[in-house]
Amino acid sequence: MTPTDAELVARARGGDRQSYAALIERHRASLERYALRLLGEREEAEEALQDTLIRAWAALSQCAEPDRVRGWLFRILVNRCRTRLARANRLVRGAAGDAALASVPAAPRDDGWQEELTRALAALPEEQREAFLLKHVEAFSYEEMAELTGQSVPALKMRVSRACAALRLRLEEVYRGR
Amino acid sequence: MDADTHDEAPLEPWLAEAVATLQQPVALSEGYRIRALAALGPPARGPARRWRLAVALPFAVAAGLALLLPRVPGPGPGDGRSPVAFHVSAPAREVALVGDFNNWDPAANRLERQGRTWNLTLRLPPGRYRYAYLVDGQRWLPDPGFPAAGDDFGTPTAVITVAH
Repeated sequence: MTPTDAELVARARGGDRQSYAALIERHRASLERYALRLLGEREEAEEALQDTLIRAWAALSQCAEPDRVRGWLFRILVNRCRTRLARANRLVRGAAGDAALASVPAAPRDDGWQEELTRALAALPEEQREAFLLKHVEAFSYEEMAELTGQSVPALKMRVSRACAALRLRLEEVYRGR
Repeated sequence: MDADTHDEAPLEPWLAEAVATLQQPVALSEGYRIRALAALGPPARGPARRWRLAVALPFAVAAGLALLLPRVPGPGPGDGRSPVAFHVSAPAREVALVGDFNNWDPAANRLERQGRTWNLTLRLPPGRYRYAYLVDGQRWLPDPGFPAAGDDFGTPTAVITVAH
């Protein structure tokens, strides 16, 4: 029988690396997707993910709700991504966002949708991009997002709303023209 | 799950399409997972360490190490697995085999020394596996006789296919 997340966490806490690897494998796709969509650069995303895996292992005993370990892993990843964004912004003030995210590998060009979507996402302020991805792409509830990000539910709703409004301006027409 | 049920209304078509596009899987290197799993120390309240590795790994490709190719004989009797013999000739204190077949766990499969050659035979089910040697817990060594993993970014790995 397939072990639950809580069972894998319990084994990993006992030093079982294979259970930890299995746990990570179970949630890898969404963690990778979030990191790359938010940071926009493969190397940055992989660094953030690597940091996350190492920190999560060391802090497994602090995971209070092992059956909700996905959210706990995301909380660490969100913080690692914020740290990397802050560093990138210090290195390239103001210009990092759009230029960096434009390099997100896109699917083979079709009708421009993918490219425009990438650009529109990149143009969002970081806090809006973070909230939008957590809500709509990773399907966290606002209450869960509040736990992950340390922000209030109303603030997160505002960010998601503003992100959607900004995306609509750039994408709705492209979508209709497909 | 979500108390704010009014937020669960159907998405506008353009937004639903955007979300579906963004939910597509992305392709990242497995290198970061290899590095992370290899760099794990003991868990905060876990038992004694099962293996020894430096916390920070240089990930440099070892130079001057002669390799022999893994041999892939035909399937063994019964379980559908095939014996795969891994060999590497290298001056080393210890050599571990890490790959998709053992969750990249350096403690799982250690090679045995015979003179300057390190050997290990595993019985693997049919499939395609990425793998590498970890020399003295610090140096990643791909197998140059086998094709490199196509999505390898920085951490050398090789690919082996075990036939049915």
